[in-house]
Amino acid sequence: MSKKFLMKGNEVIAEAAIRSGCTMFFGYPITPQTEVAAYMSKRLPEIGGVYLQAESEVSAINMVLGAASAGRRVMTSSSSPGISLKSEGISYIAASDLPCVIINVQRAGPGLGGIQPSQADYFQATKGLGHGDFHLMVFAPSSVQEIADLIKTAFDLSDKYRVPSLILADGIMGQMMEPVSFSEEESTDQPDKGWATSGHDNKRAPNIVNSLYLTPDELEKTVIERYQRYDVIAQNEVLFEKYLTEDADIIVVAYGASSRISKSVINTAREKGIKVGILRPITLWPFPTQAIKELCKTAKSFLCVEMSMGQMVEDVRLAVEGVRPVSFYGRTGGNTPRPEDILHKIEQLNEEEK
Amino acid sequence: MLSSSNDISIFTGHYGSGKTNTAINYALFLASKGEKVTIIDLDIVNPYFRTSDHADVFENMNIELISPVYARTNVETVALSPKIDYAIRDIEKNIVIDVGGDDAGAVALARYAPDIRARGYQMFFVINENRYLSSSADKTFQILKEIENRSLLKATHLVNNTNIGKETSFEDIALSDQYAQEMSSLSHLAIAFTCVKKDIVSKCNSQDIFPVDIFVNPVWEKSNF
Repeated sequence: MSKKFLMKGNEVIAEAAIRSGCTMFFGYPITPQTEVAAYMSKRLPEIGGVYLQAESEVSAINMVLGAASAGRRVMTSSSSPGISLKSEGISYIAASDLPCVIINVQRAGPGLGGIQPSQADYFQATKGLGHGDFHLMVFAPSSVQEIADLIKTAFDLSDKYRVPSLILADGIMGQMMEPVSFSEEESTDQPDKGWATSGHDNKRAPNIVNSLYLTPDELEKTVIERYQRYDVIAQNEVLFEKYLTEDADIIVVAYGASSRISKSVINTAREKGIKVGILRPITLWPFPTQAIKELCKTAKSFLCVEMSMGQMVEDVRLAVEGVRPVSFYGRTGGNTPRPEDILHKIEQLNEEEK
Repeated sequence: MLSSSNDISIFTGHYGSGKTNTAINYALFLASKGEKVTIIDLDIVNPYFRTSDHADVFENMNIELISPVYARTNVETVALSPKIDYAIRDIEKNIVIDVGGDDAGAVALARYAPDIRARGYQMFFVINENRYLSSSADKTFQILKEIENRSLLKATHLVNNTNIGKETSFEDIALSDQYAQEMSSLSHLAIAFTCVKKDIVSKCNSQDIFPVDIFVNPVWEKSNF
């Protein structure tokens, strides 16, 4: 067992990236993720990497596009309004089949919103982080240790599929401190990037990274091929956690910080004789549709808990296909659901089922 | 070191070293001795998990809390209250100051440094061996120097707050002894006390133990329902 440190989520995002072979970081400060950039600014020069604070989020994401084109492991980080600014560049990165890791430590929106934690960027992350037909792989950690583990997964899968990865965290995940240990093995299993624009030395034809296609047919063919890759990802890379779901009448579905709050309620509800369990999506795209569908065979109803007005709940309803009722409980504006309120909602659902 | 005195007690350190939790416990300790205590939230760095989150705890113990004007709101400019100037000059008040982490947080102290020096103070430098960027005495000492340079004040004592959160065992704390001693000899500062969670305090028989409650917690570890 390697040594445990007490670390902030934001610090672990940065340290885990460096340990995953990330040598370049481009960003712009914004609460509540600024510690990611601050940490990178201290550590990257120590390992001969590049830390650069850009003049805006738009510049930062285009620097990511450049570094990724050259085949480097690269990351950027921001919070909700900053991610909106990056969305044009993210679409270009996806369209250029470039691997990279993007961090969103969500805060309250819309607009300038507020600096308190939120999960209201679910739609943006999973349905439309930019124009055009494309997806990102979206990972939602719910502990500081899981951040460390998922950052490596995000880099590895992004390289493997040439699809950008997004870590959808929230202010609580970024700011909270928990024990963490890092895997001792060095992450050097980066695939050969024969497509990278890293200099041909007159030994091969030049590589071109591009998102412009001159004919509709050419563009359509490229997009369809990319969607075939998405199908492979959806088949193979879905991650989720189930807790006390086997005999559960009520299934809570929650991710990130709201899953931590929900999980703290499950045992209390069980002590009161309510059969409740939780399904926690770890990948939000691809979504654990099949796992939720399976639970329809045994569960009587679903409750989605989010720090938003209800966004992931739509994917839960799509998975359930109308076979079971799906309720929602959420807080927004930077507020978080309180354990007692979630418990109350579970008790209500339990009464209704009797 | 834990004797009551009408002094100013300042808590500085690497961010995440546990300054806020230590300062809250120290203020409660002074209040329990019958002192008239004022706690000042001087953190200009941290958006969440701050002293001002615990207003109810202070109210119950008749501790005055001075928060930055916009603390716990969505305004990121943490404006410091003029009440701080008055409090520091009021020698009737026993002052506890929770400072933001690293030199970035310590800079807020500098504007009060002349008044603090004039009145006399003790400045605790809080250390935690399990923090990644301060996991050696050398690195921690560097942070201490940076904080002293920016705050224009000198640390007077160390506080060993080595912990790993709620999982902390007495062995974790015992293991940190060497690190704390190295820090002490590098900085020529005495270790004022070692913070130990109240639930493991019975396992220890050392002289300089400061039993602490954990106040700084995420919401799912707080509720008793």
